[in-house]
Parts: sequence; C-alpha cells; structure tokens
Amino acid sequence: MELSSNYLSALKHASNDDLLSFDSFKLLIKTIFDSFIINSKLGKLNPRLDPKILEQINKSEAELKEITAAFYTLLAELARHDVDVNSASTFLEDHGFSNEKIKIFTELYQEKLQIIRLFLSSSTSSFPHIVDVSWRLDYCIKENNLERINEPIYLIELKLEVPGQSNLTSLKFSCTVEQLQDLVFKLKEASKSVEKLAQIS
Amino acid sequence: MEEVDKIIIQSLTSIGCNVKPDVTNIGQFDQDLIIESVATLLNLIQRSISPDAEQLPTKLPPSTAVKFRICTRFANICQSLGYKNELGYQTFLYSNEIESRKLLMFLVEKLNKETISSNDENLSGTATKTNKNLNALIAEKTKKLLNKFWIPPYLKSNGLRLDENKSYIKEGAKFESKLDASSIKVSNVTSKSKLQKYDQDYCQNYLKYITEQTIKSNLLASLIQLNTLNRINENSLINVDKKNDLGKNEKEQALNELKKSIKVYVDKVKEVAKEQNNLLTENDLAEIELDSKNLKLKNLFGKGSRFQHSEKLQFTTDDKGKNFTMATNDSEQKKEEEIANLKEKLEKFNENFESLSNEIDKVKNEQISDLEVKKQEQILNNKTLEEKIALKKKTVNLINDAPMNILKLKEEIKMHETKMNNLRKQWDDHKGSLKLRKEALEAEISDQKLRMQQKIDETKQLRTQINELNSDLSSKENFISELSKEMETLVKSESSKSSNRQFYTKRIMEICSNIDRQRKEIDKILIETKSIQKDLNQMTGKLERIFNTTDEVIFKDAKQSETNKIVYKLFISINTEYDKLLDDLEQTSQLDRECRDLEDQVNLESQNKIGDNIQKVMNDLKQIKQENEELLGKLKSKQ
Repeated sequence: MELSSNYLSALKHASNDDLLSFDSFKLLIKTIFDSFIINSKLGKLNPRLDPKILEQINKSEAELKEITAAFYTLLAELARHDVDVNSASTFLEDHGFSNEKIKIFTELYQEKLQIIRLFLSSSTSSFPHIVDVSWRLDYCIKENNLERINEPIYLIELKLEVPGQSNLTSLKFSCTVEQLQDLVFKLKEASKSVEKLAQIS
Repeated sequence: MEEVDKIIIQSLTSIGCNVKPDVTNIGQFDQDLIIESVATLLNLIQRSISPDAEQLPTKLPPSTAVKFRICTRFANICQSLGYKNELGYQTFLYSNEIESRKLLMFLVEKLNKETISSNDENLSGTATKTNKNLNALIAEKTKKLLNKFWIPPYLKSNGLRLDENKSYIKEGAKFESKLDASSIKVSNVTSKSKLQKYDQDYCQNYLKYITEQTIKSNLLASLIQLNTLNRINENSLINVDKKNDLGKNEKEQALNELKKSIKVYVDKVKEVAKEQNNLLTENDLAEIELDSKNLKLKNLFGKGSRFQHSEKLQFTTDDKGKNFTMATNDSEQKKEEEIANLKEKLEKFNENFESLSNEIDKVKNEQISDLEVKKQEQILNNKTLEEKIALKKKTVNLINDAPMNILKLKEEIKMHETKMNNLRKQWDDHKGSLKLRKEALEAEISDQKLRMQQKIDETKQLRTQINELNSDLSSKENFISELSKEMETLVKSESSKSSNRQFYTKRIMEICSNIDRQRKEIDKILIETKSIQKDLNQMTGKLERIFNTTDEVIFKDAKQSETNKIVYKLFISINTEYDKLLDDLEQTSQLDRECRDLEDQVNLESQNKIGDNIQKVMNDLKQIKQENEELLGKLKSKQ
C-alpha cells in the first residue's frame, strides 16, 4: 500500500503535535470515521462530511481540506488491502504519529473497517438478482389453425433486483411444462452446487 | 478383491505414490512399485508416531546385499507395528499378489486410523496449501450464508442485511452500483511552501471538500484513482516531472512578461485619456473664441480639435484649386455653430422645465395624500358623534312617558322571575336523578377496584412463575450451547475423514448386501439338502421294510423246496453286495472331496510361484557370492 507524496506530506503535517493538537486530531478523525454511515435514504454509498464541525478546529481551511483528503485516501487504501489493525498502527508509527493519535485512530479503524470495505465493495458490476417470482397456469384449448391443442402453459414473472436501481424490475415469459421442469431442475442444480461448495473443507 | 485393490490404489495415489493409471489391481504391481508404496506408507506412519523418525528410502539401490538389508528392515518395522502374518525380505523382493495385498491392506488401514488427516496437509506443498485455505474460506462463508434464513428484499435497506453481531452482509443487487470515478482536485498546501497567492486563495475560499466534490460519483473509487495516478506520475515519470518544473518556470516568466505588457498598455491608455481630456478643454476654448471673433480659424487648426481636423482635411483638398469658396464656407460655418449653440441651450431649458414640473407633481401628490388622511379622521369623528346623539334621543323619549314605561319594565321583571323559578325546579329534578346515577357509578367503581386488586395479585403470581420458567430456560439454553459445542468438535473431527469414510461406508453397505444374498442362497441350499436327506431316509426305511417282508416271504418259501433256498441265498448275497456298493460310493465321494481340497492347496502354492522365487533366490545367491568374491579380491589386493 502506497500513498502519493502530497498525501504523505499532509499526513506528516497532521502527525506533528505542534501543527495539529491531539484534540483537534481527535475531532477530525472522529468526524471522518463517522461520515462512513449506512443510511437507507442515500442512493449511493458515499461518506458525507459536515464542514461546519471542522470549523471548530483552529486551522486554515486549505490545510484542513488537504488533511481530510489524505485521511480519506489512507482509509480507502487501507480498507482496499484489508490491512489489519497492527499493520495500520505500524504504518502510522512510520509516519511519525504519536501513540495517543495512533490509539484513537486504530480504535475507530477497527470499528469501521467492515463498513468502509462495504462502501468499497458497493461499486461493482453483477447480474440482476432474482428475488421473487409469481406465476399463472393457463390452459390452451385451441387456436385458429389447430382444433385441439389442450396443453397447459405457464406464465412466469421473475422479479429482479438490478444493480443501481431502487425498484424491482420484472421479467415475463411463458413456457411449457417441460421447459418449466427444465428450468426448475437447472435452478435446483445451481443451488445444489452452491451447497456442495459449502461442504468442501 | 477388486474393490479392496481399488481402495488401496486410491489411497496410495492420494499419499503421493506414482501408480500408473493402467494399474488396476495389486497383481500388476512390480517390485519397485511395492517397495515405493510400502516405504512411503511406513514413512508417513512413523512420522505420525514420532515426528523425527528416520526417512526410509523409497527406491532400492542396485547392490543386492543392501537390498536384502533394507527389505529386512522394512519387515521388522511392519512387525513392530503389529503385522501378524509371516513377513520377511522375501515378501518385498519376491512378491506375490496375496501377501502383498495383505501387507498393503494392513498398512493403509493403519495409516487411515492414525494419520491420514494430518499427513494430507504435510504432503501437499505450500502452493496447494494456500489454495486449500482459500477454498476452505469460501466454503466457510457460503456455509454461513446458506444457514441464514430468508428475508424478503423489501426488508433489507439498501440491499444490506444486519447481522446479529451488528455487521452488514451484502444480499441482492440493490446495494451495488457501477464503478464511476470522477477526477477530483486536492489542494497542495502542506507540501509546497511557495504557493502562488491566487492558488492559496483558491484553496482557501473556493475549493470544496472532497466529500462535496463527488456527490454523483463514488468518492472512494475516485480517491483511489487519484492516488494511483499521482503515484504513477511520481514513480515512472521523474524526468518528466523536472521538465514540468522547467515548464512552470517558463510559465511564470511568461506571466510576468504579460503583466509588464499589461502595465505598459494601461499606462498608455491613461496617457491617451489625459490627452483627450486636454483636448476637450482646448476644444471649449476654441468654441469660445469662435463665438467672440468668428475668425482666425487657421490659427486654431494647429491646436488639433477633432472638428477642425476634419475641416483641415477638407481645406487641404480645397486649397489647391478653389480658394474663393473659403469665404462662403466661413459664413456657413458660423451659422451652423450658432444653431448648435442654440439647440444646446434649448435642451438645457427643456431639462430645467422637466425637473421643475416633476417637483410640482411631487408637491401636489404629498398635499393630496395629507388631506385625504385628515378627511378620513373627520369622517370617523362624525360617526362617533352621530351614535352618541342617537342614544341620547332614545333616553329623552323614555323620560317623556315615564310612569307607563316603569310599569312595563316591572311586568317584564316579574315574567322573568317566574321563568327563573320554573327553570330552578327543572334543575332540581335533574340533579336528583343525576345524583342517583353518580352513586350507582361509584359503587361500580369500587367493585372494579376490588376486581383490579384480584387481577394484580394474579399477575404477580404469574410473574413469579415466568421468572422461574426463565431461569429454567436459561439453564437449558446453556446446556444446549454446551452440547452444540460438543457437536461441533465431533463434526470437525469427523468431517476431515468424511470423504474416505463415505467411500468405505458405501463399500461396507455393498459387501453387507452381498453377504445377505449369499446367506439366503446358502439357506436355500441347506433346505434343499435337508429335504433330500429326508427323502433318502424315507427311501432307506422303505427299503428295509420291503427287504424284511421279502425276507420273510422268501424264508417261508425256502423251507418248502431247494430252489427256493438258492433264491433266498442269492437274495441275501444281492443285499450284501448292494450294501458294499453304497459304502464304496460314500468312500469315493469322500475321496473326491479330499481331492478337491488338495487341488485348492496346489493352486494356492502354485500362485506363490515357488519355482520362480527359488530361481530368483538362486540368482541372488550367485550375485551375492560374486560380490563377496570381488570384495575378498579387493581386500587381498589391498593387503
């Protein structure tokens, strides 16, 4: 895990107790970590920082902006490599943070690592998920070309969760009994293979 | 036997012996393969018993004497492990199918019992180990997820599911979004002390926090992208970086030059403006002069008012040919100027007039509004005064007819009093009925209070019962958790061998079913033999009876004549002969059985390939003798 030089200089700035006191550091780190919150109303998972809180810190706004950017990048990179608490603390130690600052950082980091990783994992691409199904069984008696058909027809509507959409979309199709049996069999096979995967030890 | 061979070969390949795929039973094993498999098996078993045991060689050296020593060592180790059958070097060197099968079976069983789980991991190298770990991790995760009960998607906010230990699990696709990283800008204040002032200003006042720069795109992805790009620039393009610095210097220089040029330009513009101002004043002067003298135009040309410039141009062209037009031009000039002056004055007067009329309008409006306010006040005053007057008029009318009016008023008062009394009576009636109702309700309330008390007591009792049951429940839950832990340990210990075990249990089930079938067949055959024996017994009984009766009949007849006697003798002799025949039959069948046994034995022995083995032993003996002689020769030559 590496950071570019401008972030490292910002971290160095933050590590200096004369330039950034422990109390302001604590406030800054806490607001940054607290911004990683899972809210059902947000469409996209993005941390939101309230700059008004940071106005309490006695520091020029330009420097604060840079330090917050450096910490967000540090967290993103740490979570991306799934760095454990000990490695994270040694990283901070290498960049001259005092033990007090490291302690508060690691405490919050341990608490929030999973959520930050969730934030990271939210940007991905996948197939739509089937979450529900509704069906109807029709009986086809005859048509203009055929006097007698007498075959059942299933109308299936799959409810899908498409990535990035908040509402369910549906997929409708009709199939004969054989086709439905084939589909059900395939689905069963798929679920079995997942179960089999779970049994490997 | 094929099944056993399959199991043995499978376990041998699983521990890493080089068994070729076309080898399907132990009869096809050659000497090298047997030695190799036995050596690896023994190595594994010994390592599991004591980890620092000596490694046995898996291949035999060419020297026969060493071969013998190694094979005897193998045999000793096997016997120390508890192998009960006969075992020696010959089992390995001059192997036969049955013995080697027995030995391998014993060793594989021993290995399965003690070590297969631990040694599997030891054998598989580090590369496969990480692979296995990953697979195991995947298996663990999927197992966890499969054990969760289903939750409908609309109960999961954002496609996330809250676990019991307060961690989130991704379920479904609602949570996901495409990767969209946008470029973001981060200030660079701390690293560079020398920043341009405008840059600092920008960072201080206008640059947004990074969380606000990426409202529509993903922040973390954008940050990672920016970081990576910066690092690439720093690492691989150091030279280019210097060039960029040079470029920046150039830019600064260019900026400075631009600024200078702008300054020069601004100065120029200022000068020009000053000049123009001067010109304007001079122009005015010129006009004044024109008014006073109407002459000396040519002198004014040199001072350069715009008007005169244009005139000058005209004159220079006119001067050449038409000097006589000058005079007329001059008079026209004067008239035009006068008209212009008069027009200006008129405009001024017009402006003055307009401003004055505006002022007049203003004053008018103010006065009108003031007057309107006063008027409204006056109207209000009038109204109040009118009301007062109306009141006073009424009172005056009443005073005029005083005694009549007093009587009327008294009557009205009396009417009201009677009405009042009526209403009081009605109220009293109402009051009585309401009081009764109130008493009844109070009695009910006291009743309900009593019942309440009873119910409270009951609930208290129930509560104590609930507490007892709760304590019971918790103790039972503890018990369950302990038991489940035990279960888990048991399952873990067993799951490692489960694959092998499944295989074996399948085999065992098949073998059991086979045995069952065979037993049924045996039972059938037994029943058949019993029925045959019964028949036989019946037949012999019949025979005896028939013999006895015929014996009696013939004996009686024998007394009567000689020929009958001979018949009787012959009959007796026939009987004895048959008895003998039966005995012989039994004997032959016994001999047959013995013959078969012997044949089986012969087969067994022939499988042992004794002749071949003796040949091999003789060859080896010869080799050893040769080696010995060589060694003796060497010894002698050394001496």
